[in-house]
Amino acid sequence: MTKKILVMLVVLTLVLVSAPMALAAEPEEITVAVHAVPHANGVYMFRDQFEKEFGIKINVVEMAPEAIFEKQMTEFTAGTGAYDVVQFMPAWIADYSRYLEPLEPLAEKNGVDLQRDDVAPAFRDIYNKWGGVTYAMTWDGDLNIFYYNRLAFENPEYQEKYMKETGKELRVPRTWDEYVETCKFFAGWDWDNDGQNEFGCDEYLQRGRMYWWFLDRFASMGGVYFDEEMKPLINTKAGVMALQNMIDALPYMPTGALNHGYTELRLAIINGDVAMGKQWTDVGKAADLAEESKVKGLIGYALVPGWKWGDKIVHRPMLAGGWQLGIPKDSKHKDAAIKFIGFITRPDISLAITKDPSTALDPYRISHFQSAEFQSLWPTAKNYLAAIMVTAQYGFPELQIPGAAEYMDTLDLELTEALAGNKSPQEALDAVAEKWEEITDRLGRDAQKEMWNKQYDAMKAAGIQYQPLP
Amino acid sequence: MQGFVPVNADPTSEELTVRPSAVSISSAQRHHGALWRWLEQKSLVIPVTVLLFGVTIFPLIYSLAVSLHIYDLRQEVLWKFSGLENYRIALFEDARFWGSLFTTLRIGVAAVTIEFLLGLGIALLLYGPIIGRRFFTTLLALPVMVSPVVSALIFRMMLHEKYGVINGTLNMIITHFGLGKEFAILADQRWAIWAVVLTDVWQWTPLMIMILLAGLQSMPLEPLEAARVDGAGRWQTFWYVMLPMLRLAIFAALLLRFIDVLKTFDLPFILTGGGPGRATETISIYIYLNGFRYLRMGYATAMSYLLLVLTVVLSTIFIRNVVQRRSV
Repeated sequence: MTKKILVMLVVLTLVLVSAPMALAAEPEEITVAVHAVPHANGVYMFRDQFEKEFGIKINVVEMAPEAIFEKQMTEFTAGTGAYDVVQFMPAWIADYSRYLEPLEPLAEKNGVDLQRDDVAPAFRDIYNKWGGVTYAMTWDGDLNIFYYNRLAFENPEYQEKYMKETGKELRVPRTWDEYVETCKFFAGWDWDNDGQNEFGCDEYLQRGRMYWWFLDRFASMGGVYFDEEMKPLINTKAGVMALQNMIDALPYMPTGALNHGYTELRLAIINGDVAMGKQWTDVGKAADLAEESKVKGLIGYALVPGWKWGDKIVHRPMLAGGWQLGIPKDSKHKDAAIKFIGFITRPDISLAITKDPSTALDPYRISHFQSAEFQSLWPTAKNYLAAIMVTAQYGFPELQIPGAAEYMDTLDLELTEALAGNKSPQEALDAVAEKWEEITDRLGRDAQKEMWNKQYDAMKAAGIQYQPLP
Repeated sequence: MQGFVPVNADPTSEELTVRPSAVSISSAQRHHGALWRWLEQKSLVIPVTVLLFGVTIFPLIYSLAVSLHIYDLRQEVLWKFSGLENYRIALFEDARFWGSLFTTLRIGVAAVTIEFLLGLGIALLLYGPIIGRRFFTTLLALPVMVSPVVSALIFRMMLHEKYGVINGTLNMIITHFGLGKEFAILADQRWAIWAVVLTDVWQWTPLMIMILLAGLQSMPLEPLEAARVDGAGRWQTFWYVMLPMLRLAIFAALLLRFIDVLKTFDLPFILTGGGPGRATETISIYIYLNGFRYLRMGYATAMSYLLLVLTVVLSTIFIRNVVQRRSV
């Protein structure tokens, strides 16, 4: 018996001593939770190089975009430390911030230069920060730019026709009123001579994220989400006029526009079915580089229309999305994680990633916009990058306070009710304001007010403030 | 030690002085043996019990507890007891809860009715003398094997107003013959709900066919022959003989599908996202939004329990009705 116990003790000791040695021999591994392919392609492209340079392995966990928030939040609240790097949207930063590690001290400790001065200011100063602390690093410069079909706008015959019909010069719309006018002009006739009638414009109006197509109208008309006292400003004159503008444009859009999401809108633009439309920046790359595109060399780029305030036109294009990377506080490999973030967002690496259409990741560094390599990717790439750079300067941010998803879903739902003709714009937006008050009360008015003012201060610093329409 | 000695025994006897310890060992052995036997007997059941508790009973108890709290993942304190407040809000204050429930019932009743009628018709066709029955049965079963997400994506493409084989072709005909304005099924509040029904019918009619065909094939032939001998026509044989004998299969098929359709989520979510407006927002979509988008786990769980109660009540009414009719 004693002999048996002795043997067991010896074996146990050997196991205990050899296990850490065996573990030490294994390279460190980090788990990166990212938006599924195409975004995950960005990691796969450089996984081997990272492992070679840093001796750190990468385990990629791909997540459907709709499931990212719930999966990551569940892990955070349970404190599992399942992920070392997480990809998330700026709209969630208030909810996420208490679970995330501030990046700058960690980068400094590890000698990682994030080169944040090179990141477009709207991402760097509003989206990456919460309460003045940097919790994230952008890795997808998601924003909406305006696309137009040059066959429609640059034909002298059509310019003359437009002048005859409206008494105005045909140009890419700069204001939302001009947008409706030109949308009407190009609807219902075959302006590209492909044997089929085309539509004037198209928008993402399917329930889910269609509020982004309302917000840049609303913001250019002087609107912001709340005032300093947390009173909703969504049902002000700016809101009603913005929604009315959407309703006015609707008859000139494709028949099924009310159920058009990302795919349908992309298809409408790259198939040449519409004269113009606001979309994410990856569609610009697809229009010229994707095999299925029927508009290669025909797409022009512009700033999303704005609103005329006296002699000046104010543009507030939506910074819609803007995926970024952060490190959870409960990660056991924070040092390795910051090295990964530093590496994958490095100017040369991120340039290669954002240039590649298979990643659907868009440029966000000033050096990306200025890159000669990127500018020569297709004949008009320079104009494309210029449109993105200007948009990033004027961009309007998403609501970032806790409960943002619920506030926005309520807005989304009521906007679709108004577009479907079930409610007037004022009725729909009054219902939104009422619901927003209810959500604020439920989540704690004082806490919400404090959070909103944090975001509003950052917006004010970027020159975005409530401006009532006369 | 004294306690172990029998009262009438001689305390000085050597034999008796050792007996207490002998008695005590034997009792321990007996207990040990009994415990071992009990463990041996239960060891076969314990793993299943633990699994059942972990997989079914614990989540039920846990979710019931969550539904009695304001369990919001955004809050610092997760477990804030609220009693029946979540249930009260859903039942008496939340119009969207009732709206989405009503939409679910509309989709459910329409889809299950069509599936049943089509399923019965096709099952009767396959029951008769038909060449290639096996081939057709296998072919008809294919949609059931497709994931609902994939079916929804297929129909979303087929219902595209320009490129879709259904809606696009209809619009082409409308334009070609000048029959009126083009339309988009998925973008129209009146039609979108029928798109969900159509997709559900395409996917789940085969299940009805299979259950009803199995019911038909297991029917005894004697009553049918007796009816024929008695001069009953085809319709009379079907209505008075076959249908009553099929009642149990019909009941099983309807109940299964109805319970399933009450939980429908993926089809409308992919097809229309619940829109336009709220036209196709089912109760499961609304519960999902509350739970996973708004992180109101307590409220979402309470609504799930209300849906469970509704399902149980409807099923019970259904079962009782059928059982009573059978006994009559």
